[in-house]
Amino acid sequence: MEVDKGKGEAEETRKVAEADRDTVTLKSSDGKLFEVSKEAAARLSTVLAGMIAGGSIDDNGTDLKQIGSEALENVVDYCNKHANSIPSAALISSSISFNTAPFKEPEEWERKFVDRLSHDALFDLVEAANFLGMERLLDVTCHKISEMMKGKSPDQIREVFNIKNDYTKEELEEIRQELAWAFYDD
Amino acid sequence: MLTTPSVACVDALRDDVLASILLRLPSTSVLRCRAVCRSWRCITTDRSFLAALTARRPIHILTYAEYAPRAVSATPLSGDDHHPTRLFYRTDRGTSRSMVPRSGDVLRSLDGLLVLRKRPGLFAICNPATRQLTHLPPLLPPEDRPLRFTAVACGFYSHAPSGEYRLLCHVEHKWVRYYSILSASGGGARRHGRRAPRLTHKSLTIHYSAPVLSRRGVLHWLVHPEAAYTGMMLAFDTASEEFRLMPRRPPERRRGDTSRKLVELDGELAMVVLRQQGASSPSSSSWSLAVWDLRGYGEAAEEVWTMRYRVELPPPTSLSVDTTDDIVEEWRWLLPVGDGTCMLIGQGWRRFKAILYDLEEKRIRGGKSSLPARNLSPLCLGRASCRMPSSTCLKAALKFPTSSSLMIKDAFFDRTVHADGGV
Repeated sequence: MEVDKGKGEAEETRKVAEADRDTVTLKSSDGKLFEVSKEAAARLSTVLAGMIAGGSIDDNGTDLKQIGSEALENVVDYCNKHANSIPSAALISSSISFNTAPFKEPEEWERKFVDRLSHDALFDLVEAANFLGMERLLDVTCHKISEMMKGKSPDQIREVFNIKNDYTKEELEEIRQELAWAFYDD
Repeated sequence: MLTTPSVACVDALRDDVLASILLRLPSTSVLRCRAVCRSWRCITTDRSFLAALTARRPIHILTYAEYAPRAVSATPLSGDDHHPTRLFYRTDRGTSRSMVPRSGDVLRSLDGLLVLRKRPGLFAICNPATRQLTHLPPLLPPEDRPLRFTAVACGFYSHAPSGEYRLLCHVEHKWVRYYSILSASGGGARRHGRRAPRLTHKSLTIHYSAPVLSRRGVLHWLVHPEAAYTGMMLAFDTASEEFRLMPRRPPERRRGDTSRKLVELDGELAMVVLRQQGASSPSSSSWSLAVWDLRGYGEAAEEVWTMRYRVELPPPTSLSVDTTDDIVEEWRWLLPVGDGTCMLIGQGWRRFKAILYDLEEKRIRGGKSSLPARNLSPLCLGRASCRMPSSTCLKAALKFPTSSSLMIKDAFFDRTVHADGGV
């Protein structure tokens, strides 16, 4: 009985200590550890915010089995950079618009952040952002990938993204005819 | 970028991630993506994807030019691009009259889709984004053009249990009057059990104000032939497809009311009234916008219309280029925008100006107070849009190409595209 109580108390103190720490440790699928500020993680990721609030953050590294070390490094890097950036005026004033839900344009540093990534890293990062519920990072990475598709023909898109064409020649012709105008003017 | 040999495979991405990437593309690029591979086609023709795509697009206002060249155009409400773009126009004068809708032929809009009337009893759903067109089952065989046949499109909705787009029509043929339901998935016109009232006027939709589809999935009409003699408001449940009479009609139109519209605010049915006071002397007249809402919805004894607020509006400014013109400027029309929480208040017929008013925040939004009227070709937001208000305001998933390449050809118009969700 006494022992149990003592254990409970220890648990309690550990939790308090954890709440006092201002960073969280994240563990990638290949076992590497990364530290990120708790405030930034909670603000930028709905999933991490939920884990922090729910106390399911592990001091020895919260397992994120779905995310590789390279992607997680980028996520952490992004969180740290974001913590230091000041939202631009353009972002604040964009609410005056007739559009219901316009996508926010990435800021200059965010552009640079994703521009340096290889395709592989970018795809891993977009998956990681999606998994962690990081809306803003998802926005930035999706924007980058969509930029790579814009104005390209289906052939070019297949080439850039290494996609196998699984249509028959007839099917492809049918689609082209159905939407012929979309293939000509731009 | 193109020259780097890539080993990355986009196939590794989950469908929902890929979808959120494709959502950011212009409409033409999205359409081209259908030709990339099968899974991309699945994603880009999925109904929820299309709905999301539509919601992301700027809102356009539809305008009609009744006279040479007869055309239906769309002008974006946002951005710097104020040029109206022609959606449909007559390609072959005289011979292909039925190919191009007249103003009275663009009837309803929902989810960026338009309902067109091609001839009496034949309706079609058009997606201006893909420029595809699906015919609804005809109410009459094509060769049969009897006298005294009228079919009025009175409601366009998405039938939740089946996920189909359906059109509710009011049909009158000599002494027989009935409602008919047409489904985009085919299957023929289905006659509704309820007896329809007499269409007191043959001018199509004039006695059907645009219905408002509430979050409850119910269509409501502010003006309806049946309400005229029952004193009640007609409602139509789009899931069960049953009509219902609601005991309380919105307050009557009063002298000075120039336009009235039903909307939905905070989940409740509401009515917006545009009103001029002191109309006899234009110099001293003032304008106001009143919002009424229906409390106790669905509980017969409890239902009551109360005025939520009334606000003053700035007077309309001159539209005329020629300052010697002695034209009295008036706010004349109201159009609900987007989800209905904003209202476009406009003046002018051939050329127009409008302000966007936010009904929830009670302020004029965006500081953009006018739509440029530099286009002197007949840009008529005229009587037609008074009759069919819902159609004049659409959220269309369009990337309008410039110039005349937009012409929707007769061949296109005659082509039936199957409703695979990609209508």
